[in-house]
Amino acid sequence: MTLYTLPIAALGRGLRRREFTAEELARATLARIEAADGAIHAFIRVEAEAAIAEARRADAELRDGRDRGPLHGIPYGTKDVFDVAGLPTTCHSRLRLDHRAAADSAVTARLRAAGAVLVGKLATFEFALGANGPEAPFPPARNPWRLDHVPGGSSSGSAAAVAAGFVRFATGTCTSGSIRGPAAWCGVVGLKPSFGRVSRRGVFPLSWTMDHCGPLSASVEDAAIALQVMAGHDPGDPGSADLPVPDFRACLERGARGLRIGVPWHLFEHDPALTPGTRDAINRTVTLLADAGATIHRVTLPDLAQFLACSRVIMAAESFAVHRTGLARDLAGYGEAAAGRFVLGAGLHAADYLDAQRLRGILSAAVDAVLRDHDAVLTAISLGPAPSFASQGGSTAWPLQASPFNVTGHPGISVPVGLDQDGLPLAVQVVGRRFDEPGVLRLARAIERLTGRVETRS
Amino acid sequence: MTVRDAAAPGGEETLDEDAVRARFLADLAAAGISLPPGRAEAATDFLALHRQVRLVRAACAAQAPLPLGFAPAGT
Repeated sequence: MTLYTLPIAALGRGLRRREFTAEELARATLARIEAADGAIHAFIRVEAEAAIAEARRADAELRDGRDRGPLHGIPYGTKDVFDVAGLPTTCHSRLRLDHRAAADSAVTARLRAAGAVLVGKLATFEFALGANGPEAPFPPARNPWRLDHVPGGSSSGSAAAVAAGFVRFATGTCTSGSIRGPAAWCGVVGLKPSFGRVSRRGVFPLSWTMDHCGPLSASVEDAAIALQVMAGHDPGDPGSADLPVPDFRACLERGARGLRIGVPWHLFEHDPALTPGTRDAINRTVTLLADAGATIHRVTLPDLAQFLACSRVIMAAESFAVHRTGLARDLAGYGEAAAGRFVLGAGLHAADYLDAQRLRGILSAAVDAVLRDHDAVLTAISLGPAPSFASQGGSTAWPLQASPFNVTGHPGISVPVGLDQDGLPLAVQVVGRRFDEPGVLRLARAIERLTGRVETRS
Repeated sequence: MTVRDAAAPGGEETLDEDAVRARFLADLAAAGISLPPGRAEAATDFLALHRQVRLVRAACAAQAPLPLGFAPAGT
């Protein structure tokens, strides 16, 4: 049996029927990482002994009748910005190689309490922002679909690890597209929940009013299962919403019939970066949804330029506030790409930041208005497939349309919708009302069923 | 150098790029950060961010003349 191809729900059934043990699953996962990650570099640190120990504990608990739920005994990886007690949170930076986390992040603690088995920490961009240059302490993750292509970022290792079939889900963070972007380019599902749904306590911040945590996974159902554990109010995160957590799988299989879906074509249809393959994939998805009983409307959101400007000003100001002392103390310790971006915030003044927050309120209200009349918005996530490393020259100025919903805080998910003519994954983005992750997951699952799920690379 | 700012609404505003660069470097110095010679292009990169600031400012002026308060998204 090839354990790594099984969905989380099937793995859970197998564990409970004693068809295999959590230890066998962990060992199979570690063996696959050992065999294939030398070329992909998704993991920067593998915790083999600890994973085996956690898996044995999970097996013992199941034998004793203590069942911690759907993630009990399920292996996962975590982006190296999440604190794990006793391990370094390097943020892929030379500056933090000696760091040791004193406690688990809220997400780590929730996953640990749910019995999930941590197999290691995953590559990212330095401090989840700059590209990884030659001075980075770990090699950059590569796209499992084509090793000479970028996986996206900054949750690069998370997307690569899921796409490679190392784990069924991984944690990610998203400030301007760092979950949905790499998910799109690696052919996996990437869910940025509503702002406030998942605690950021114990996660190294980039821009705290736009930072979100969420799962990257091999399927929509896997995303729902992972989010179920990750979500919940945490007084330790000032942005955490004190709201009930619904059952994210409750309406997963209800299909698209009866849904009202808004498509803001103007955001992407005339963009010169839109590839024919991506355009065709979006059109095909819309047609399939309409044939399945959804109604599709053209909707208008504010200009993309306003979203992008708002995002960049807020992120520049907040990330500079995070790094100001570090930049003054040891600028040379930062990689060139990260330093070059962080210093820009020094030139912003208070009124610039406040204006961006004022504009943010307007943009958020505009998205809310569209979603009052529609169950969801369907739009592009990337305007093309993953570019090659050679074509990038270290740049991360990618044609992504994710950041508008980091500005507004609406939940968004990237769903694979097939491959382009060169065999690289394509995706669409679904955005829903605030805290309506069940609705977002329902439409994402409908798209997954209609377009055929993109399998992980094996 | 003063240039027409094509990114500005209407493209009519002018932008004194040298002044923007100089102000940025002064702000950096005030924060205790001095760019090594190899990273001087940050001042040029700041021009792009400054254009975003102008776009935000123009959008606010057009759409939100009064600062009525901001509620962070999702809370």
